[in-house]
Amino acid sequence: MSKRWQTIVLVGIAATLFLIPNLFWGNLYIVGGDDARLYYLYPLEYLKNFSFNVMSGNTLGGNLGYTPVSYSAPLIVVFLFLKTILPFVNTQLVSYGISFSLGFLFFYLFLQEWNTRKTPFYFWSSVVASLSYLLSLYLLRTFFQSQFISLFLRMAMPGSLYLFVSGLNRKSVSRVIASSLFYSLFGASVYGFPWLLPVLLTLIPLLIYFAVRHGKFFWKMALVFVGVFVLCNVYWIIHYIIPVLYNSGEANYTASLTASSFIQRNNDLIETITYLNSPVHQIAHYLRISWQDRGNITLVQTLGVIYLSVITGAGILLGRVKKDIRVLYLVASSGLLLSMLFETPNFGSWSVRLFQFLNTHIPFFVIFRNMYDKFALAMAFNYAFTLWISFMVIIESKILRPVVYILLVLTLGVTLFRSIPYVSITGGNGVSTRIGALNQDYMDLARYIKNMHTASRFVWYPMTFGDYVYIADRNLPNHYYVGISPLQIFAQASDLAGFYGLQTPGDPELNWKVLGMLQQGKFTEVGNMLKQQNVGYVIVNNEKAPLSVPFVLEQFDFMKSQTEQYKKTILGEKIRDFGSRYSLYAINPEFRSPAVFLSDAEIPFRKSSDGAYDIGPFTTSGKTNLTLMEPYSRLWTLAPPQGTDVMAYGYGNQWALTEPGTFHVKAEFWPNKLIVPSIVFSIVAAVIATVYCVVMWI
Amino acid sequence: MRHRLIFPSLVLIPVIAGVLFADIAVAFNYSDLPFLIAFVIYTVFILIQRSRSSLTFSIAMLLLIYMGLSYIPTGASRVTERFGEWFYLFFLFGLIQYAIEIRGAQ
Repeated sequence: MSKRWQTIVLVGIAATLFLIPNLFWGNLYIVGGDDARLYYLYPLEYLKNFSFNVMSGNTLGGNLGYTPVSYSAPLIVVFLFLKTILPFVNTQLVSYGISFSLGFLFFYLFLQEWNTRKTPFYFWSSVVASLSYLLSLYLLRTFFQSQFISLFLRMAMPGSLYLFVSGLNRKSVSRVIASSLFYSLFGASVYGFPWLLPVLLTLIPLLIYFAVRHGKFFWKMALVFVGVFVLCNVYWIIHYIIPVLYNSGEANYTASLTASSFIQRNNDLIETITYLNSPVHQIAHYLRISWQDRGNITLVQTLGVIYLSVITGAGILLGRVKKDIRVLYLVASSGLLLSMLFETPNFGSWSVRLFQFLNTHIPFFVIFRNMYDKFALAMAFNYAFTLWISFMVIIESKILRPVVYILLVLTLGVTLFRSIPYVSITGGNGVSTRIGALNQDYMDLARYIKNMHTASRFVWYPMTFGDYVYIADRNLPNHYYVGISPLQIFAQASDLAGFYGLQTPGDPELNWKVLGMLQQGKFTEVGNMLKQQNVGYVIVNNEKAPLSVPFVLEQFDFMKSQTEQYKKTILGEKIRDFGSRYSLYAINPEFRSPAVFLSDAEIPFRKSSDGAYDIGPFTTSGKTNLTLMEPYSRLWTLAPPQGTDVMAYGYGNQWALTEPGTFHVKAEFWPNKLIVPSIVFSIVAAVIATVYCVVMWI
Repeated sequence: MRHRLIFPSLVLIPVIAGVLFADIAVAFNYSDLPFLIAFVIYTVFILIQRSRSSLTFSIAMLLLIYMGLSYIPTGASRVTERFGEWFYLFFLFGLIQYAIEIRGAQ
C-alpha cells in the first residue's frame, strides 16, 4: 500500500468523522445544563460580558466568590472566529466535527512516533487503534454525553502529546512549545485539569520511559512545556495565586476542595461509586455512568473483551519480539492497569482503600471522586495505545498473517458496532433541549436589564431546584434552553435562578434554610433573605415549565412551594412586560436594599464598569457600618482606608466607621485591576511563542 | 537446593488453584486474604521454577476465558467479578515479573 493511498484513507476517515455531526445531527444547537453551552451561539456576548469577570458576575445563576472563569476563553475565541467566517453554519457541530477528525488524526500521528515500519499491517493497526480511541465507550459515554467544553480534550490531549513526543524524538524545542500552545488553546485550561491530570497520572510509566530514554533533554522540555503553559495562561493562573498569597479569607471553590470535612464526606461517596461499575465492566471496556443505568451489559457490549484478549495474548508472545517493542508493551500496559485501577477501584477491597488513602492525603485528589468520569479519557487513551502495541507484538512474533488480519477486522468491527448506539443524538419525550436561538422576549428582557445599569441583583419567579432557567426557542415549539441562567452573558447582571444559586460562600446551607421557609410559608423571611443578597428586582417567568425535565427543575416541591402568596409577598411595582413570557418587577419595597448603605441610612453611590464603587459624599454623626453587598472578600479595599472588612449577612462586606465626619470613598476589588494586564501578558507570550515556532519551522 | 525443590514445588499449583476456587466459592467471604495467600505461594513457585512471565500471562488469559464463561450463565455476578479481579492481579503480576526479567537481561 503506497504512502499516497495511506494518506487518502486517513483523509477519508477524518472527513467522514467530521461530517457525521454535520450531516446527521440536524442544524440545532445542543444547549443547556451546567455548562450552558451558549458560547457556540453567542460567543461574543460570552466573552464580553462573562468570561473575564473574577468576582461579581462570574457565576451564572448563583454566587461563586473570587474565582476566574476564563478557562474557556481561548476556545470561545475559536468559536467566535468560526462564527465570523462561517456565519451560516452550526458552530457547535462544526467544532464537534473538527474535534472528531483531529482527535483521530492526532492519535494516529502519535502512534507513528513509535512506528518506523510502513507496511499495510502497521498502517491498519494504527487506524484501528486510533478509531478505538476516538470511538471508545469511555469517551462516548462521558465527554460525549455531558458535552462540557472539556470534550475538546479528546483532540487536545493526543494532539499535545503527539507534538511533545515528536519534539523529544526530533530534539525540537519548537514542537514542544507548539504542544504547550495547542493545549492552552484547546484544553479548556483549568476546566480540563480534572481529566488531564488522570491522564498524566496513568502516563507516569511512559514519562519515566521518556526520562530514561532522553535523559536531561526530557526534563528540559518538560520545563519548557510547563513554562510556556504558565506564561500563556497567566490570565487565570494569577487569580488562583492571589487568594493564597493574601490569605483573602473568602470561601471559594479551591478552599472547599481542601476542607477536611469535604474530603471525609467524599471518602464515603467513593466507596459508593465503586459499586457503579464492576471489574467486568473495565475488562469488557464498558462503562456505567449512573445508577439509572441498571441493566446488565448487553451481549454486543461484552464483545469489548476482545481488546484485553488481544493485549493479554500479546503478553504471552512477548518473548518472541525485539526488546524495544517489549519495553513499550510494558510501559503501555502499566498505564492501562493504572487506568483500570482508578477508573473504578474495585479489584478487591485493597483498591478502594488505596483510592481513599490518596483522597485523604493528596491535596485536590478529591476532584477525582467520580472517578468513572474523570479517568475515562485516560482509559480510552491507554486502552487504544496498549491495543496498538499489542498488535505490534503479535505481528512481530511471526504469527500467521491471516490470523492477524482477522484479529484486526474483528477489533475494528467491535469498535464500530459498539459505538453506534452512543454516537447518535436522540430527542426526549416530546421536549427538546436543542434550539436555533433564544426567544426574542428573553433577548428584549436582557437588553432592558443591561440598560438599567443597576448594582442590584435579580431573582426569578419561580426559582427552580436545579438552579436552571427554561427559555423557549425563538421559533420552534417545545424546544427549550434548560440550563444555568445566562442573564450575565446578555445583560451583565447577576441573578438568582434556583436552589443551588442560593448558597453563598458564607452560608453554604442557605438553600436548605430557604426551602424550609418556603415549605412553612415563611415568605417574609425569604424576602428578607433576598434583601440580604442584594436582590432588587424580580423576573416573573410566565411560561409553564417544560414537563419532561421535572427532575432538573423540581425536587422537594421547591417550585411548588413558591405559591401565589409568596409571589404577592415579594413583588413590588411592575416595571414592564416582555411579550407574554416575562414580566419585570421591582422587589417589594419592604425587602429592597441598595447595594451600598450605612447601618442607619441610605447613601449615594455609583458603580463603574470595572466593578468599583464611588461612594458618597456622606456624613456620619457617630459609629456606624458601611456595607457593600458584593460577595465577601478581604481583597475589597476602601480608599481612603476605613477599618477592617468583615462579612455581612453571610454574603457582603462591611467596614466599621468609628469616627463621625464626612466621607467620600472608593471601594474596589483590586484584583480586577490585574485582569487586562494579565490578558495582555498572556496574549503577548502566546504570540511570541507562536512566532518562534513558525520561524523555526520555516 | 533450588534444584531439589523443583519437582516438589509442583504441588503448589493445586494449592494456588485451590485457594482461587475456594475464593470463588466464597470460602473467604471475598476478602483480600486469598489474593495475598495465592500470590505469596505463586511467588515462591516462580522463584523455584524460574518460570517466565508468559506463564503468568497465560494464567491471566485463562482467567479471562473463565470470566467470559461465567458471564454467559450468571451475567456480571459476583463470581464473574471475582474472576475479573483475579485476572487483573495476574496480569499485573505478569507485568511486574516481566519488568524484572528485562532488568535481569540487562
